[in-house]
Amino acid sequence: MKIKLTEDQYNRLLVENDKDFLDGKVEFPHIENKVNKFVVKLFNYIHQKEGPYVPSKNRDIHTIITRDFGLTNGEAKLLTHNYADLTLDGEVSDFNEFLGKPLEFYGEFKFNTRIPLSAYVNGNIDGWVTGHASSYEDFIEQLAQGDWEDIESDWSEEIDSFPEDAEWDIDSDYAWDMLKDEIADTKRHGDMQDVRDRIELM
Amino acid sequence: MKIKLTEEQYNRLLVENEKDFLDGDVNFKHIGNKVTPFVVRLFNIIAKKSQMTWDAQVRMIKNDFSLTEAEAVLLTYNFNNFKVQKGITDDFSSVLGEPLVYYGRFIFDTEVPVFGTVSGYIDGYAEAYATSYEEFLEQLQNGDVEVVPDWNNRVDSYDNDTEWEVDHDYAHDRVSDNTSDFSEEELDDFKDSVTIG
Repeated sequence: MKIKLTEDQYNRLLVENDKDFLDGKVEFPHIENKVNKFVVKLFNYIHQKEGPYVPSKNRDIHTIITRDFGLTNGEAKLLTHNYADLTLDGEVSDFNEFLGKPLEFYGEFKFNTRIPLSAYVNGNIDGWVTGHASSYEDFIEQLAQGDWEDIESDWSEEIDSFPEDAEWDIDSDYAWDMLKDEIADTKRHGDMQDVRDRIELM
Repeated sequence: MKIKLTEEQYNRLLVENEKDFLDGDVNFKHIGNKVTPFVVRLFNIIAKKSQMTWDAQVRMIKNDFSLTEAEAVLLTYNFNNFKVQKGITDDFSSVLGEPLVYYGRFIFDTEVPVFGTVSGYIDGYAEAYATSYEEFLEQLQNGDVEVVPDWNNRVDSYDNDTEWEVDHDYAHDRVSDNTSDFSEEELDDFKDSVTIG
């Protein structure tokens, strides 16, 4: 299959950095940062297999890229995103027309932070159960039936608790709020570099 | 008011232990363990006030006869017992010398299960797919990210802040389980865990 280039596309392919995304922060082993012949072939193949693009096909497209083309998960995510982007405005019959077009970076970012947790914990404390009865036997019967009047404890006593058994869960609502507040505070103080330094690409 | 006694009632009043309940574990300051002329009089006065609730009867015995709460509860219980069992409506003279049934508050010492919610922090990260740092930052600001704890890290928790509550359902089951198979032989052990009053 021959691919025709405009002079502009040809020049761009010649002079620009072909590998890096995000000012050199990321590059991939098998793909470059522009639509090259391999990517055109890949997009045409997907189009042939999957037909017109709809977002629900993202998972299938991702699978085709990793399985049929042997690309990494990160590469497949990026190419799926760009494939969707290119077809967003309508049906594309031949992806040749995009040859040389920069690929948009799309990948997983992570921001290191502290996460609030909460857990349900159990313990025991000394206390007592009370009930009115006419004899010890009558009272035992009440206890056995769970038919007592009150259960109380002396909260000044120490609680034997078992925090090592705690099953921690993310305190999600608080986590969102804390994260938003943290970013907002940093922004207010104009120290975005601090936030930037804590962002990693996965 | 004069009270007539049969010979049997009179003898019982003379020879038996007049104070103790539950084999000597309890006795009261103002009342004995049998129906005395004072108790008959008290019952008769209560009987005249019809339609009184249990609590009102206890209150009246406490206030009008200067008895303790425990004494009032015991007498209220026995008053109602005689009423139902013997069908007495106004004059309780016939039960003079009859034993009073003990009825009072028992306290069983036990371990109470409690629960609470404990808070803590762990190092982790927020993650999302984005096309640029700027877009990711916007996602962070909008809370449009997934928060992932790194469970390999240690949780810093604050046990002291825990607000504990009694786990009533579990307490219910546990006390029942612990007491449902007491045998006669274990009664003495049980009594060691019980306070009356």
